[in-house]
Amino acid sequence: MVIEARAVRTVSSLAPEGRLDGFELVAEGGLHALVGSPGDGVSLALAALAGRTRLRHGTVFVDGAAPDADPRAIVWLGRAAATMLPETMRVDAILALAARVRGGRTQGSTAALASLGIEALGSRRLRTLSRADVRAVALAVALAADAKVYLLDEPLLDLEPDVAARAVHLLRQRARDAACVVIVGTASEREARRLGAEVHLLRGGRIVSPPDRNGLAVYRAVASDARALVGSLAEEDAIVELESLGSAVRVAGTDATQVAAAIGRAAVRADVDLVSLERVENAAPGQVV
Amino acid sequence: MGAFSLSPSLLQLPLRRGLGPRRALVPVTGLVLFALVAARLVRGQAHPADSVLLETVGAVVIPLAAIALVRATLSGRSVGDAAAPLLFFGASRRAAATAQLLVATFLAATVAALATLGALLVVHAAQADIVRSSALAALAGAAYGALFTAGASFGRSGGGAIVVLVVDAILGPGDSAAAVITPRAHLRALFGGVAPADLSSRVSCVVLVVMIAFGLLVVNLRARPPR
Repeated sequence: MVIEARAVRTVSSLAPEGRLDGFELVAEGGLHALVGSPGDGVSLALAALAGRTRLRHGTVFVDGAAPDADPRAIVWLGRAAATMLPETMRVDAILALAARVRGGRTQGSTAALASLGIEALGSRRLRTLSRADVRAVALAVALAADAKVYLLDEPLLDLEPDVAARAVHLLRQRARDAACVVIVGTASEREARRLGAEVHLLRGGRIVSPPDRNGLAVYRAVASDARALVGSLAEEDAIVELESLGSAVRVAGTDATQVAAAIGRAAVRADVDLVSLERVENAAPGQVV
Repeated sequence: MGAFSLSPSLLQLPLRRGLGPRRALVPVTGLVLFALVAARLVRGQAHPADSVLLETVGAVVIPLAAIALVRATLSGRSVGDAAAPLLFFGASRRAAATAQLLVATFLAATVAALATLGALLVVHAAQADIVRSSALAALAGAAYGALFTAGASFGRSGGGAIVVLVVDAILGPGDSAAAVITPRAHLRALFGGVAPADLSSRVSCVVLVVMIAFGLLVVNLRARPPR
């Protein structure tokens, strides 16, 4: 299974979703992550790959055919998950309906919900669920489908930690199927690395060079409580690598300014004093978080 | 052009929406009751059947019930936006749009027939008139359903349906050639009123069928995959 976009140019009618300008991607099986903000065109890129937006220029092919040639082969879960599900229906009925529309090419509703640990939601109506639960149900519907291409915009956003952990496992499992391509859109490079995805950085509507470990901006911070600082830094999306070195912490990310700012924020949040902060060049790679 | 497979399961979601209590059942029940009350009020007058069909059922109840049902079937959104869950489940754009139009058209036809049937029973109309008028009302209701759904494929919230309703209300009451494009004028003619551009009843029936086909065509064209 190959999905490829060539020289795609398009503009979203929704201003925050930005534009694509020479977007190119070839994804052949496995788990891929488009990393960038909505303004960089991540959501728009996923919509374009799904054949859901008008292209001003360029082409998108799924195994050599237009994306709409077989709608059941593609699952596209946009950021606004709530609008993609019927709010008045019960969760188990939604999954059953999705199964019927897909012609049986899907998991049973109970199994689909159980795979994310949300089987208790089965008897609830969608409109009674929290935003996080709605997103979890949408992800369950998406992952229950026996599709060839999964295009998921911020699939882990708002999920409870245990649901997110199960989702990560399921996404990796799907991606191991050679006949499947899973492409997630995320603003967090750290999340993309957590998924073990091949990272494609999207900036200003086009793919830029993939991040090179040697090109990471690395800082060494010495703090009054290094352990607390590490804990606080783990919440920062700009941080790609994080390693505790006794009283010091080795911190890396793709953007030096953002990494320095993240260290400052994390120190304030953890209420620790930064004794020193220095940029380190050519440091050995550390632990991926 | 993408794959097109219209399975019965695609009808389930729009049908649930169309029969939902909040958006459709309350206004439609109110309109049908209005027709029954109007029929009761004119029962003692001369030609009560003509009066209630032309002034209440055809002019008010059928178009307003049809637009309420279309808006309910689409959850108050455009045809494209309302189809989002079906697309998420793996339906093609055209199949999802067509399913919504079929449900809206069916519901509008059914309610139009029931309102007509009820009103004519109240005024004790002849059985043959009841059957004939109910069938014609169903045809007109279906035409309204199809045209309103086609209209709802335009505009962010399907506001095109309101435009169709306004055009129908402005041009329909006349008997000029312009009225020919409105279901209202043909329904009036079929209910025994003035025919638009002196068209025969048979031609009016054909025009209403053409309107249903036109609505189906527009919805399918609007549902084409983006290129």
